[in-house]
Amino acid sequence: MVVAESLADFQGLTRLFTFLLGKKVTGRRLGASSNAGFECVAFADNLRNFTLPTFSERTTQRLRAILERCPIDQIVDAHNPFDLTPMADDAAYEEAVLAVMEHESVDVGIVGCVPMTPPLNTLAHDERHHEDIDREDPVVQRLLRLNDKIARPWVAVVDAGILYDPMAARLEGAGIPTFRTADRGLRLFDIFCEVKTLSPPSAS
Amino acid sequence: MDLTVGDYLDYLKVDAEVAVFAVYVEGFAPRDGVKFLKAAEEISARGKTVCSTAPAARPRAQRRLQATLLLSQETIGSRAR
Repeated sequence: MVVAESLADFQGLTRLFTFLLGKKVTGRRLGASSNAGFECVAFADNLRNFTLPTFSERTTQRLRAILERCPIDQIVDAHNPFDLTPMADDAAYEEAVLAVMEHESVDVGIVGCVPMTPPLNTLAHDERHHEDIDREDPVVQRLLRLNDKIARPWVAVVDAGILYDPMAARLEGAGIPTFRTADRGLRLFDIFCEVKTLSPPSAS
Repeated sequence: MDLTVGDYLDYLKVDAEVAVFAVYVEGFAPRDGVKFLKAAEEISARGKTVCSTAPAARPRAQRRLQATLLLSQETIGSRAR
């Protein structure tokens, strides 16, 4: 049983437990990725009971190949949390998240997206720009597809203003727990993992 | 209205269609905390989750809830957070 400390936490935790229903928490080894350096630092600074496993050579090679294509391999290393930088595009995002979440030592994941960057399609359709999150290729649609592939529990963070509310709503509407800041996401996700770790397997 | 939050949770605990019990609590009727926690314990034993709160805007109610949970925890030996 979990007692939330505030109404906001109550709502956040209720969404976590319902959206991640059936997901098994096998440990607290966190795979983290973001396209913002500050958010990677925020992940590392708010780990609570999570740990950041070191990527294997195989995963590192997968991530380096993504960085080379961007190309940002000369300025970024492939480590956990994985910093995609604002130069990463939608396709690179999808590949990187999958590589991190498929790493053998990762139990759970957090995917940050600071969306106000030109290479990413993160805005709802509007006559003032050419972005549209409802097209097939934007990072939102890619994350929705990934959610079906990834068995491990993971949450998303969209740390941006109201222009990006539609993006966060699309992710939440598809069942991906989505927070607006990294520290809040990790705090509630840590509580979720604690409860799931202590709980017996569900009979339902 | 004589029904309590403990009554509701005790009634719903066997509903196979419910996996997550979100319970908004402002306070307990006398001795209802024990009934509430017993039901929560049975639900948790089935691998399901009870998520409860007291509103932060009413700190007195929240303190009462926490005190009741602590008292009930000692009474029935349940693990409550």
